[in-house]
Amino acid sequence: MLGSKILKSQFPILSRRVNDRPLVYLDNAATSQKPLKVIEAISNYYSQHNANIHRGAHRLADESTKIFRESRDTIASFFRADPEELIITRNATEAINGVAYGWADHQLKEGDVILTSMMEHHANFVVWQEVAKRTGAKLEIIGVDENARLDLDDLEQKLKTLPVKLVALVHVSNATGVVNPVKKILQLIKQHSKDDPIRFLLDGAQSAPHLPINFHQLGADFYAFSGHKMLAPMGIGGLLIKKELLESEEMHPWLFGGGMISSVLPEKTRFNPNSTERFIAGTPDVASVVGLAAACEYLNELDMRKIEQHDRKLVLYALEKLTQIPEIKVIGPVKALSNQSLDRLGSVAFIYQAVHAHDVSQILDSEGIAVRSGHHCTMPLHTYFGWQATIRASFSVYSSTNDVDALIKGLEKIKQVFKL
Amino acid sequence: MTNDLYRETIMTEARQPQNYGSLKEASAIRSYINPSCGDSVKVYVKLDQEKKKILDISWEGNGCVISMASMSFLSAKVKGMSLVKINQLAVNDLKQMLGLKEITPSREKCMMMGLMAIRKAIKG
Repeated sequence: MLGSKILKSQFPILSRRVNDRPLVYLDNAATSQKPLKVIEAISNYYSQHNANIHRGAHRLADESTKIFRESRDTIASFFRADPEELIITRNATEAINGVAYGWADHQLKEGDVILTSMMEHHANFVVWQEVAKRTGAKLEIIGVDENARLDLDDLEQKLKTLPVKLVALVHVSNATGVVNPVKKILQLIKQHSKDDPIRFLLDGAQSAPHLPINFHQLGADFYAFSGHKMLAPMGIGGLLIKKELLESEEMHPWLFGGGMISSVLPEKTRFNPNSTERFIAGTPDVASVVGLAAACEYLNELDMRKIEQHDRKLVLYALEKLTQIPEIKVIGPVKALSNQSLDRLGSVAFIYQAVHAHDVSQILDSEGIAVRSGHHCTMPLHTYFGWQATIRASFSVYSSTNDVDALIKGLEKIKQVFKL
Repeated sequence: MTNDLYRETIMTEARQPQNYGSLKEASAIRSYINPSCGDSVKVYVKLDQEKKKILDISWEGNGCVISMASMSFLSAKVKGMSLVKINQLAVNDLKQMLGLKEITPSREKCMMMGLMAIRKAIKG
């Protein structure tokens, strides 16, 4: 069961003690811990099957190639995408950079508009500032309302009046947990698409660990994710791309070298027509792909629908407790919009009046509680609201209401240390 | 480590900092942002005519207890100090100044923020 002691025991690190107390790990939005199943899958690959993939006519190369292909298939199927729609990257940041180099650089020209938002992680912000510099396209930023939700009126206004070519938005905010209304956004994009389609990129770094993702139903052209936030190792992630963009070659490879070619002549190279190979230049991190596939299987066994419910329960529980502490100001939405469930997932963030976020997290650490403090790579959002730094507690499959209780109890120590 | 960090002397220094505010005769004013958290500090320095030492210094900023206490102690320490000596100050000197036996990599950045700002200001 999610959050149970049995489930926690499947993650070796969670039995560690920190500052002589049991570890309460609430920094999952930064990175999740890894179950034994994932650790063993990686170890087993290296102990039993390691060899470079492709073009080897020996047993280990064949085994490795087969494992690599099967792992890719598992990962793609986890997202209900076709295997050829998955490009393996290091993480969501690299995936978004891939869209910049492999799509935006040659699809955008001076005067075109890229739309992003105030709530983006720097990974989906700085990349577009750089694309704007390179291509002459203009970067326009959609605002947020007082609860840090996306301003849909602003989005519609910009779609209506500007020559938008790309909308790049976060699916679930890493800073506030806000879940963006993808269906509504897509509807607006379709409604305002003129001759050329407007492409839509979703940064799924924080949605992949918490929501069942069906890439085909989602409707985005690009979906970027990081494995390490969904129980897989660091250094592996992916970019899902709609098949039509690959078939029409609207999306180009952006890394070149061995493995991605079909023939190389002194005067000309032909790229591999198969997208599962065309986008892998050089030797990939096979063991991490194996680890990511094991994580996908593990999440499937737990059932992503149940994970979403578990997460929603924890967010509501944490918000209920935090809003009772007078010194704490919760940031982001606390109340649901009418007739909807609360559009917040994965984390709760807050400010402790008169005590800096770093000091709060340091004192929580002394109680064995791991949270994150700072701007969470969302400086535009923090600057807009005038938050110097915020404290974020974020959840995963093993998180429980006991962990939230420990956090609330740990926060009592702030008063003691600061003599408030 | 937490008890070490939040000792009375450090807490008091952060709450009642020395040399806080602007400096009218400043020869250089520079800000430094801690990239890991976005905290920032602005220092005002007045150098001697030969530009070899700091005659006066003040600062303004917002941050955690460690960054504020460190900046405050440092502002007193560098008054009258030669630029050569200031450029030689390192992590261990600041730890000693704050009376810390150890500091984690993330809090080291907080501790060093003020020194980074001063170095920027004396560079011109």
